[in-house]
Amino acid sequence: MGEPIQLAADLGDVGSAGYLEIPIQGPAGANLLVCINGITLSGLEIDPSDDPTPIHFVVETQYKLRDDDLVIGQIAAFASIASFAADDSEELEVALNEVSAIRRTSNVVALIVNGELLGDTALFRIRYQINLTISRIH
Amino acid sequence: MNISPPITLRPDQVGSRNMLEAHIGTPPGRLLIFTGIAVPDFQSNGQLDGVEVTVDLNARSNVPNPPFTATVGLATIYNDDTDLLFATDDVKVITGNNLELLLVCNIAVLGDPSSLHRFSYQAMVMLPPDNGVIAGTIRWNPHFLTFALDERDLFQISAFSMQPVPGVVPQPGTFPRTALQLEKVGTTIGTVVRKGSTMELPYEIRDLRMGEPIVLVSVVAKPGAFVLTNSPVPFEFVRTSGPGVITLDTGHLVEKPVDFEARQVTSGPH
Repeated sequence: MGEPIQLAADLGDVGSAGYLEIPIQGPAGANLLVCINGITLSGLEIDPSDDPTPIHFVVETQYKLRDDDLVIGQIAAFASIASFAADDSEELEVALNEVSAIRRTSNVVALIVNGELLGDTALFRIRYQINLTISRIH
Repeated sequence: MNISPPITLRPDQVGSRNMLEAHIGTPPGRLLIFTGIAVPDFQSNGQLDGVEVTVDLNARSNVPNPPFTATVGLATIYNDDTDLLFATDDVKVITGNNLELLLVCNIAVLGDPSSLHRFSYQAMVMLPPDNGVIAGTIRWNPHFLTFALDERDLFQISAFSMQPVPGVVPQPGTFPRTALQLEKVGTTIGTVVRKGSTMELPYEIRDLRMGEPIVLVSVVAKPGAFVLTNSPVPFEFVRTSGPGVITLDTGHLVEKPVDFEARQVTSGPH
C-alpha cells in the first residue's frame, strides 16, 4: 500500500462538515452520542494501468474529544463514494473495501478508508458519518 | 429491468461491521446504530439487472418493524469499458420471524460487464423501552406437600411496590402514609419437575416498570392447591434468594433467581 492520503477538516479538506452531541443515559456510563459527518473535497486521480492502485485515506474530522472523554464501545463508521469520474475507453474500478474510525493521539476523531482504483479513474469525494458514544465529565 | 431472485448475504459477505447502542429517553429506549459494507458482488452482462439484497444486522428487536432511518451508498463498482449504471434504489429495516433486524436494499447494475461489488450502509433503529422480569423457582418437599390442582394454577405470584396512600396528608413531623401496591401478577412456567427430594416449578413476573422499586415478591399457594401430609404444622412459601428490594433498569432487565421454598409456619415474626 502506498503513502496514505491525509486530509484534515481544519485545513479545508472536508465539506458539509457537521456534528451532533446527543445526551444519552447509557449504556455503561456513556452520556453523549456523537455523530460526525462530512464529504472529503480532495481525492485521487490515477492513470491507466494493468493493476489496481491501492488507496488509503486518513481523514481527520473537525471533532476533537476532550482529554478525559472515555469512548464507550465501538466507533461505527459509514463511508461511500460521493463523486468519481472515469474515461469510458478504459476498464474501471472504484473500491472502498474497508471503513473504520479511530481516536488519534491528538484526540481528533479520524476516518480510515482502504480500497483501490483501476483505470483512467478519479475518486473525487467520499461521504462519511462516524458515530460514537462517550462518557464525558461535565 | 431483469429482476434476479432475492439474496441474503452470508456473514462473510459483510465487512467493516460495527454496532453502537445508546439509551435515550425516560424510561430509556435503545437507539441502535449499525454500519458496514455489504458485498453482494452483483454482476450485469449487458442488460439492466436488479436484485433485492438482505443483510442480517445481527441484533434482535423487541417489537416488530421498529422505526428506523437508513442510508446506503456505492462502495465498490467495476465496469469494463461499456455504458454503465450503478444504483442503490431503496433501503429499509424490517424484522424477521424471530424479530431479527434485517436491512433490505434494492440495487441495480448495467454494463457488459459491470459489477456492484460492495455498498455501504448505516441504519439507526429506535427500540422502545424494555420491561423488566423477575424470575425464579418454587420448591417444596413432596413428603409433606402433594399438589392437587392443575400445575398452572397452584400459586398466586405477585410483585408489589410501596406507594403513598392517596388523599392522606401526613401530620407535620411524620412520614407519609404508604401502602403496598400490586405492580404485576406472575405465572408459573412449564411443569413440576422432581429434583432429588424436592419438587420444583419455575415462575416469572413480566412487564415490570423500569426504575420502580419492588419491595415485596410473594408466592402463596391457592386454596386447595396442596394436600398436607406427614406434618401437623402448615407450610408457607418463603423467599430464599435475591435482593430485598429489586429495582430493574435498562442495564439490569432481569432479576434472577428469586427463589421460594415451602417451610413450616413458625410462630412469631419472620
